[in-house]
Amino acid sequence: MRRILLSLLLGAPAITIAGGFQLNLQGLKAVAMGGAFSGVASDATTVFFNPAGMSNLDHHNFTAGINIVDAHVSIQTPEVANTDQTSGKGTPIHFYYSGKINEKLSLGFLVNNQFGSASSFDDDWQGRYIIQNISLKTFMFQPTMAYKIHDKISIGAGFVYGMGSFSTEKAVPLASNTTEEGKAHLEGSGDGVGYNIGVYSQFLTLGDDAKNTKFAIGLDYRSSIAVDLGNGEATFTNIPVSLRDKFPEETGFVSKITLPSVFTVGMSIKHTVAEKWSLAFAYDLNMTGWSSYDTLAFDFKNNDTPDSKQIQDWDNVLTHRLGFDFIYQEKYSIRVGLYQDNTPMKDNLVSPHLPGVTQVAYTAGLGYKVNEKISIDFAYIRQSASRDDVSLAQYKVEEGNYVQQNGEKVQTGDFNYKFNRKVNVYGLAVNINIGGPKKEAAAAIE
Amino acid sequence: MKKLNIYLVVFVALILSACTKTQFEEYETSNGTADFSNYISLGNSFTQGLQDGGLHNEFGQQDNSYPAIIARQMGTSFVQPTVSGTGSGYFHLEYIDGEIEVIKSFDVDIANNDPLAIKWDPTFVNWADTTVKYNNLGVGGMNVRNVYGQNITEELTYHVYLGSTAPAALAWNGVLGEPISPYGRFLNFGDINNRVEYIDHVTKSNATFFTNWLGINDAMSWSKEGGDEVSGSSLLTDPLEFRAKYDTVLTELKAMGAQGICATVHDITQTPYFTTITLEVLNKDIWIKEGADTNIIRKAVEEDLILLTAKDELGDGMGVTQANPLSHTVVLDKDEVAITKAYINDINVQIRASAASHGYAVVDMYSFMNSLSSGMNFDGIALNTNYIEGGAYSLDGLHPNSKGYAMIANEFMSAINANFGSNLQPVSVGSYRGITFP
Repeated sequence: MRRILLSLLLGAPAITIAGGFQLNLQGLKAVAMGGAFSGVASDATTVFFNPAGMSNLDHHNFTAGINIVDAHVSIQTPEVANTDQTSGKGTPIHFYYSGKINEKLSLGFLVNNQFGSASSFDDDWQGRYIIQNISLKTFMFQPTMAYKIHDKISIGAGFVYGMGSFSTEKAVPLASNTTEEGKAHLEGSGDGVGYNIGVYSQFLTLGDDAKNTKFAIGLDYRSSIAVDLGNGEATFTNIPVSLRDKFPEETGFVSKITLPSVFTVGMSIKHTVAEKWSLAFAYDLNMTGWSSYDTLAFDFKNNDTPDSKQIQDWDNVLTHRLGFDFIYQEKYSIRVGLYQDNTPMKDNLVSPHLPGVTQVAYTAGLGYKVNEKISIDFAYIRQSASRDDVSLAQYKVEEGNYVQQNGEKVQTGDFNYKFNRKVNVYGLAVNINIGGPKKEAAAAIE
Repeated sequence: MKKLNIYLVVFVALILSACTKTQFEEYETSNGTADFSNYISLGNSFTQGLQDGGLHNEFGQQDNSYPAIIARQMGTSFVQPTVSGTGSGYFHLEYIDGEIEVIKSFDVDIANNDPLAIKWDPTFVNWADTTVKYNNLGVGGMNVRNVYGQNITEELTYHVYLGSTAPAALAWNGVLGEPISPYGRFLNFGDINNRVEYIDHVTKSNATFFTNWLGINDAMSWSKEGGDEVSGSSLLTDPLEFRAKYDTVLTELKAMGAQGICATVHDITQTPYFTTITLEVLNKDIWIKEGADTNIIRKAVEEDLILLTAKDELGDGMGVTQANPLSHTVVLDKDEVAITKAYINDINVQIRASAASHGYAVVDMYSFMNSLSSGMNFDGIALNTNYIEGGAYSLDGLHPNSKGYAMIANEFMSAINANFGSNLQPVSVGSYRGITFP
């Protein structure tokens, strides 16, 4: 009876990878227009937004872009007046190709970072037992084809191969005579597959060549992608000697992250006065299937290490996106837009590393067509949000510290805080169109 | 036009990146209507900051007693009689042959101390300067009964010294004025002919503000020894006597114009000292002897609480046969559990009534500590009343560790804020030390 039975979890590393970590930055015309593009399909980014829209494009179209995500988050708890996240800037990229093979068939390809998040805090911050830092990166590759099944209707489909990697750290509340607390470091990578299908129709054109109004709709569905992390590596440092069998210096783990599906209904209306100006309006409604993100579990290979399971219990969210694009003399473009950013997180399950909030975000952008072959887009997003009501953002489940999930006790945290969050996103993309018939190019130069 | 575009972008970017200030303003603390300039804390070992069965400070255990934490948040000076070195000696953990073992502190009264037992520090014998005026008046072993003697008999039997039933002369350690409880050494209790009572220290404190968590020992010193309805070593203080003495303490404080807050006594039978060794854990029949004055030997039932102190007897093979039952001192049998719980409710009624009649508020530590039994989370750390892995109690199973004391300090401050309109900031429980593992 001298022995202590450590029967319960001792600071199990429950880890959230989370917080609306979808990066809606996959095309800069779209970004500038609140993210609405599935009914626009005016450049190669449609490979992502709506593969069917590829039929809309002539010749060979390339788009390469980069965003700089500059997020500032400050957190206030009843105990600590201010803690800033120390996260660096994120730089998601995208690359698209869409080429017309013949009147009916188009082929395309994409590489982009559709999901990702990176945030960190100083080592001694109050919530270090919840999260110290986290980084999630994904790369998607999508060979795609589109087919014009009717004069006004095209369909498209792509196969998606996704790779994900993440790393995260948190403090482990175990002290010895010589150490204050331990640290858990987990990293892993894996891959998964999915698909992206769409329908596009420019169903109505009013007016003539000199002055017309075009109406288009698009539907797109991007499937969820289950990324299996089969060979994760966990390292535990500064663990008291007597607990090393529970928290060894190194062990493996298995986990799985399901990236959500996104279903989009979109439309656009474009009014053109030939050789003078045009004005386009676009609207998309996204349904993001975050409910696939219900639990995040880590099963450690070392039997004595308590497995970690954390309830996420996210909700599916609807996002409204709309924007305008004013083009002057087919050369200069000014775009504005907005979207309603809905958080998938339940009010009492919001992790402080990427606090979610329902808000309206504003977007703007510029386009410049250098010549028939090259154009450049700039885009900007501004998010500014706060949550002041402490009870809204508590990291807590109603009944005590545990919740029952599939008959098992699952540990949760309890962390009440307020936050301010301001995000600036700057994007730059280059679009290249080559391979057009010579006479068209010649005509354009004239 | 191209240049204009670029200028525009640069301009907009500059403006917007300037607008990224998200920082919150620092908190402003305020005292509200309270005067914290001379804060004193009354109580027993819990107030003194005792943990792991002793007074020690090698990782700031004493520096982080709950009243010391409160005083820091008040921004007021707070003098404590801190020990040095190994203090009074204390329980610690060792890692032996792949197992974590609890090593009790060195006990001068027993022959077979563990060679690894931590002994009191030589400085502990003359541990603190009795001429200094201390703010922390918590004394390990202190009962409300011990606050003062109501008559000469009381003074000379068990009121003039602290925490023992030894004869008065012994209690006074001869003529040196040494209280039996070593934890009172920092206060001058006079000598046998010129006795200084605990209440005298309260009276001369000139406190402007106090916290009062007296009363725990009046229930605990009986029940932690297995209780005894008839002839126990330290009886449950009679509720009327309890009330009279509690009233006197508050009257004295009122007379000096002190503001403050009293705390109810928590249900000590829900602490790991009482709840760790269960029949479920032992998974076999256990024979116990009921109170000292009975010869009843019976099988333990679920409602009997086998104390943490039964560990040694169980290790020696006691308790498994009817012929060799566990001693009555290591089991709080089910009747004694009921007595303890009822008694705590009784004295809490007295504490509330006494506080109300003196115009003092009460912090409900009874409810607060109860909620710990079902588990609470602080800074992402789950705490409960499980022994060691629960994270809130120290190795003696009765006293909190520093995380537990921080949590208690927060509860006091929240009640103080509610009653005085002050704005004392709670502390981050996660940053206080829990169990020290080998």
